[in-house]
Amino acid sequence: MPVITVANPKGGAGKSTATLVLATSLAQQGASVVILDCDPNRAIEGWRAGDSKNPVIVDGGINESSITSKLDEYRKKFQFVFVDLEGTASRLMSRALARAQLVVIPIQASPPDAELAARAIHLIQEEEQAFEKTIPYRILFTRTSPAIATKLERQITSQLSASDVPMFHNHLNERSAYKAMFFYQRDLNELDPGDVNGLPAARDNAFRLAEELVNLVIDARAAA
Amino acid sequence: MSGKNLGFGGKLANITPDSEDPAKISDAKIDEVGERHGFVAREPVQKLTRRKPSEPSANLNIRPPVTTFNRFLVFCEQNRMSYPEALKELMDRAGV
Repeated sequence: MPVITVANPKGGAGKSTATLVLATSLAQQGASVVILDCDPNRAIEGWRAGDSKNPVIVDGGINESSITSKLDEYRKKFQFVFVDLEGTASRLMSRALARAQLVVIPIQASPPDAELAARAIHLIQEEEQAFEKTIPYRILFTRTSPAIATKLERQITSQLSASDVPMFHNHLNERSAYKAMFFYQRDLNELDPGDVNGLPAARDNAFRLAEELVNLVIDARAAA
Repeated sequence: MSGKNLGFGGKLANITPDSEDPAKISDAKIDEVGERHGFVAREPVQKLTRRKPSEPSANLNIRPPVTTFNRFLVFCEQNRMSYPEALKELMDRAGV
């Protein structure tokens, strides 16, 4: 059960940040993890070019024609294969969704993010029907305040709940530490508390989210 | 590794790489479903050309005996080579 596709056709929803936070957290806990960086901006490949000792592997040379064979290769070698995609409705995203064993759909608490997440969900549902397989997916709220939910966030959450759209219980909160990971090219444990505010809270948030993901993967495997 | 360990290391051991191939789904079928939802190819299409990038060329006019000419022509025909390609091949083989 290792292929986890992180997708939302909307740009800026937090896909690369969520991918990096989850993948580095799992790798730091001892899991074997590879990230397929399919975003042409190559944000995660750029992160890997730094001097982080985190053992996560990053493969940046992925395109439409190579994604299928890469997934088939990596799923047999690693406990977790993360696919980070560009924020656009692309054939590459469609292929990565169809072959996912879990889809993480990050959204900020804003209508455009939620609307485009719905497009991804519609595609997942049709792929499930067309290929007679279950593709579990979860909405992940990103950049939310850890202290208080905005009215908009509550309204979007209630709409999603009313439509039975599954959501991560934990959010990926707005934390400067997540941006600092890209700036200093380190994982959360390697960042210096002197350089970054709120580091303990960010680490705690990342661990709880990673734990929820691990439980989901175990449940999905049991259901399969 | 100074981060808070929430103790899911044990659970991680339950997650293993896949041992079996997944059910085969053709890319063409996925693309068909994707296109109905507006998930289309975004990668730029590169025009391929059969002509190989080459260095500048020069003329070489020669008048060999007909027997030599015939041998050369048969070699070119059999190996489906142009005259310049065949000349290079023969010189490569001769170590010239």
